[in-house]
Amino acid sequence: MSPVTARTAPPPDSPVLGGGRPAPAERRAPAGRPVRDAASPRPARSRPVRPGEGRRPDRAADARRRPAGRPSPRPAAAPLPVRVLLLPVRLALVPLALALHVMRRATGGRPWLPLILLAGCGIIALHATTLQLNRTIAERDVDVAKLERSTATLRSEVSRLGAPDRITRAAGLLGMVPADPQGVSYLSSGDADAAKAAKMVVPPNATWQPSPNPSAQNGDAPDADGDAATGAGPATGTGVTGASPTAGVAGATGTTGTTGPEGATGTTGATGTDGATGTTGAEGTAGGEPPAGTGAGTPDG
Amino acid sequence: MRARGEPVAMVVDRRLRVLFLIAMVLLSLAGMRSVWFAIAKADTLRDRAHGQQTIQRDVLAMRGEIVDRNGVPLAVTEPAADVSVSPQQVEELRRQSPGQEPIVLARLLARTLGVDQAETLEKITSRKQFVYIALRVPETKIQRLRDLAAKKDPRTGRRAANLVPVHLEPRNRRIYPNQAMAGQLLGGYGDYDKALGGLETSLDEVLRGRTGKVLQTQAGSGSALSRRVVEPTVPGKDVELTLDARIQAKAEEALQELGQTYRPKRATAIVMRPDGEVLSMANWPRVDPNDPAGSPQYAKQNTATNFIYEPGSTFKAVAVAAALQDRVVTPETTFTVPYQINVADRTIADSHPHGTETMTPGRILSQSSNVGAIQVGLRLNERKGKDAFDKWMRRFGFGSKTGIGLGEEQGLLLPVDQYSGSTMGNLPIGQGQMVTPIQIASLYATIAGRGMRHEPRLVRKVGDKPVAGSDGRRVLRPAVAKEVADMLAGVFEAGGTASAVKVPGYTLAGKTGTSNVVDPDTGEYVENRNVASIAGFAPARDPKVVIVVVAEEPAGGGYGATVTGPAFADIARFVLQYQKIPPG
Repeated sequence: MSPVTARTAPPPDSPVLGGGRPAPAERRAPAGRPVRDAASPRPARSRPVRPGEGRRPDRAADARRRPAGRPSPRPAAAPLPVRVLLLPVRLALVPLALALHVMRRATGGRPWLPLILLAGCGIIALHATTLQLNRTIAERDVDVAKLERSTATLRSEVSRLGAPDRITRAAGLLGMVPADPQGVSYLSSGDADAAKAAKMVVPPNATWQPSPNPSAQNGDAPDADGDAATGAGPATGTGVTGASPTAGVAGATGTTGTTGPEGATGTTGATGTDGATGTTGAEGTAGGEPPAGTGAGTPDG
Repeated sequence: MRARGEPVAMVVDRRLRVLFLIAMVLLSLAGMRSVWFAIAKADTLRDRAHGQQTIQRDVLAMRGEIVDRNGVPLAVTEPAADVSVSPQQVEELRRQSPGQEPIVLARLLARTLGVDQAETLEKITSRKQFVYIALRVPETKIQRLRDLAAKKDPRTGRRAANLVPVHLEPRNRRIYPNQAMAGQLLGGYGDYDKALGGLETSLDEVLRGRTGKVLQTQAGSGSALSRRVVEPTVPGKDVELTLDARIQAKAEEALQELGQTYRPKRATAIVMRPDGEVLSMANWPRVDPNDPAGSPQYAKQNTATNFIYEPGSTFKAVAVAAALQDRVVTPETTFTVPYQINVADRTIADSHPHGTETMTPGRILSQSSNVGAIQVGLRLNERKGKDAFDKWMRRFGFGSKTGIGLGEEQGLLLPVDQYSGSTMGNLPIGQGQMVTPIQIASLYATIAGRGMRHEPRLVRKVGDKPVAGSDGRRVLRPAVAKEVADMLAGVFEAGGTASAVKVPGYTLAGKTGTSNVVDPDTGEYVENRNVASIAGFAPARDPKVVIVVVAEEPAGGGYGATVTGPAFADIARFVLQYQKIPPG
């Protein structure tokens, strides 16, 4: 590529650059380097010219070439009434023009380019993050729905397993039998019964220890080798209902078994059926010591 | 080619122009194409994209649970789905490369859903649009189907099966964990999310909830990108009943014994509190709501609310209570009661021959004298007008629904203007009107509740909100209710018709009833075909529980006390002990 034209630096009094301002070269002169005299002619510097540039009209040159007495061609001014009528439109366009101007100024410079690029990248990243978040939410929603379904399934399983019918069957297989409602009867108390019962209440034995065999606590048949075993040591049996109620005495309601002379312990006294000992009473009395239950038989008033 | 003498710059310039021109042409073509897509093909493309990227799914609302008053589940819901297959898609899959043979899918479905493989294969290779493979398949099985289908072949790296042709319609699978307990009361739940009677139908609005819709956008891989709730899912509300599962079980056990002993067509036992809360509504034969097709239609009916019958002597309490309330008689009023009485053209006799006796209203009840009850009814109408007895029947709730909130019969009362001369010879002894067992229970609850009549109710809570019971309406003065209760206690005492029915420690009050069945062909009462019943409450002095037992046509006939008395005593004994009601 060969230079087509060579342009020389304009003179300092050139109306285009403004004679009052120092030339850029002068402003940017490094320290210690002789500043070139503004008045001295700048050495001619050639610059490669792009194709077609030579044919571009140089308006400044045109202006310079234009005769001083001839005014530049300007559009003919509209008549006053029209201008008055257009005034509101012009005023309305002022903010737009200002905004455009600001935009042009703001984005025209090179520093804005990376900033815009960065903002663009940020928007894309934000969008991607939102998308990712949406995806996570959707996955969680699916998980939640799955868990809800799973919970419902497990709940139905629990209710199936805990159904009274099933429990009853299972208990039956273990040898349990439902309590016989007909085995329960009620005794009527006389006026003196409350006082009598109150008299029989004794403080608990401080030396009493719970049996290590839980079945004995529940009034079940004590284990052969447990502490509650009959015949070995103090008998721990269910409360014997007082002196065995005899015929004609309407049963005996055993109070909670209390300690006997040898620390024998009775559990809940039974509710006696008519004239009989309690249904669960009178057990565990085979110890070496006398039966210890103190539950009193209350004669039918 | 550069022409001789032509500068290089000019050549470059021209090439750039050409390139620019080509680029512009291409750009224009692309622009025109995009305009074509945006305008001409917009709808089609939008639909296709929408179809590929977004899927609208129904989110099933889980049906609410039904629990008893202690929280024991009576009906629970398990997520399930109806599994269907599109044979067309099966065929498309087969044609693809690599394809999937229908047998692969049939084998997988048969293995996971427990259906017949050959039958499934036949179905999925048919020419139908879609075929159902299984209904209400539990979630666990569906998950197994998915898991097995997703299993990859280690050699080929391909999935075991492509489930694209398989469609799942979410459904509720209702489970009744106690099997047949309260079967008729609960009703049932069938295919296609349809309630099949009982509480399931009457509470359907509350239990059902609302199925929601979710719009899911998904990536090409199938993973969800976003979910948008189009319609929110509203789960069904749980319902807590007034029922007590243990009392219900006991009542059913008692009925089972009655059924095995007397072989009635059907029987029912109602246990309720005087304030109208129903503790048990048992039916015999039992029906398992888990298997609605496994029972005959007649057995599925809730006898407690849908069986209408002539109440017989249990209705005599209405005549006596009405006469006492209207001050037509007092407990001391005496009636001269012969063995039989003529009312218009009809002669009515007592069940057992006896000479002319003097009876008080209390004795009329305890001896269950037909003649005495008719005399009381006639005296009431004589003093208070010919519609007095009719008004009293209606005041006690007969002839209209009780408002229990179930599908129920309202019974039948003859309008007063259609009375014949002998009608009043029937009505006071429980003939000539049709009632339901729940109406009788309501009558005795009114007497037990010191004259306040409450609507029977079954629902205690909906969601977390308690359902308020009715305030009640006073029907009898408390003193009158107590007088009637005392008279009814005489029925269970020595000399009463139910003297054999006892619960040690407690005094019972009530009335037995035996009414013959009318032959629909002849219109006459048939011997040895009757409805045996007993209605009462306990303890008589401070009633806490009302029990009604009715058995339709026990084998060989049989009186109310004989057939239903043991079941009554059995239930009363259990309930009184279970509810820790002090003896009295």
